[in-house]
Amino acid sequence: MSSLPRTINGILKLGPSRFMRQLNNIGDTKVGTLIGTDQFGNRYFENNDESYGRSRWVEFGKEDSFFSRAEMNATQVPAEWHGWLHRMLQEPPTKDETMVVPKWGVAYTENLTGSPKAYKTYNTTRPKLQAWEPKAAPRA
Amino acid sequence: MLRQVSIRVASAVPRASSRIIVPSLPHTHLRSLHVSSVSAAQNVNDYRSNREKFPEDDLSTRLAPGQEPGVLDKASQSLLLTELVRGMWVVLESFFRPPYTLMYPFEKGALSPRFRGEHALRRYPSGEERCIACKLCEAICPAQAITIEAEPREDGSRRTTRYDIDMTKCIYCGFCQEACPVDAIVEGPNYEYATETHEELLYNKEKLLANGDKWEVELARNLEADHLYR
Repeated sequence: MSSLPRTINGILKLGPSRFMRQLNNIGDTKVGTLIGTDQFGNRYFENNDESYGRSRWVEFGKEDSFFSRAEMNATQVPAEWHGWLHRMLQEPPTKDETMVVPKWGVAYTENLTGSPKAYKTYNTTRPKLQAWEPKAAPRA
Repeated sequence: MLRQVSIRVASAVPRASSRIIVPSLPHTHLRSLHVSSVSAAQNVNDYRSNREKFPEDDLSTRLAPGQEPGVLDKASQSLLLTELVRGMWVVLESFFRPPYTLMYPFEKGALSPRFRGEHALRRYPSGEERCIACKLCEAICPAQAITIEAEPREDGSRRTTRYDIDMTKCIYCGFCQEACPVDAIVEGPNYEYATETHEELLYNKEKLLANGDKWEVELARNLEADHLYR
């Protein structure tokens, strides 16, 4: 809950740059311990003194700025951190040795809808009907 | 706090005129009432245990059994707007409490490992795809969203050539993952796959396998978390 002491504490602890970004994004000043950073530059924080359900949060690597809008996307959280952020897992992937990334795993991508790389459905089977090519005898 | 106010409001009602008949009841009658309510109060979830703790809440403690509240009782309750005052007090209390609002893309809600979201086809640790085209998921699907075609592969193993899920037909009941004998089709934890067009939601086998490769880290963890209940 935003209050005057909390906001002043936020300015002092976060610094002016992060303070303004948090007001722009979360609408609140949240101070927490940095748990880790993923391959996209998203930073994950935790503060168990926050109210229930708000104790873990992410600061996205791509932030909305004056020049570029809507780069930030909720689907930019990769699968490794997804469970921790949704509080399915207690330990973050930096501490969790049991989390195994398979060798055949592919790089995480955000939801690409609306972009040229968006998935478009196609047929995965061979065609069931073969076209008939007529052989017409030349006319006399 | 709320309780004190309600008591105060209630005591503003002229008590003398509200018919307090309980003291004049025969003693045996009162005792039998008391004993029965104590035995009922053993159950914590029973509303009668609350009646025992807060007798001023219940008109029946002031009125004899079977007696309706009098005209003056009802008139004083409505004229002094006691219900409104009590309701407004609840509003005032909530006003000073921290909100439960989640700022969504930055803070996300808690999910269960059993959450049924976007589908994925999984692989064995060797990289071999799990699905053996038994078509149990296709058979059990209540929305008939799954379409499977199968052929023997070059090495003779039976695999699907088509595994299509119409995500706009799917009702996310989870029967497919329950029917699957090899844990191939699963509903993963991802719910952020909204698209701009319909055809992007007509998933084929390649898309489902790609989903599995992308989310396998978490899919394996969720299956592991639930393995004692399966």
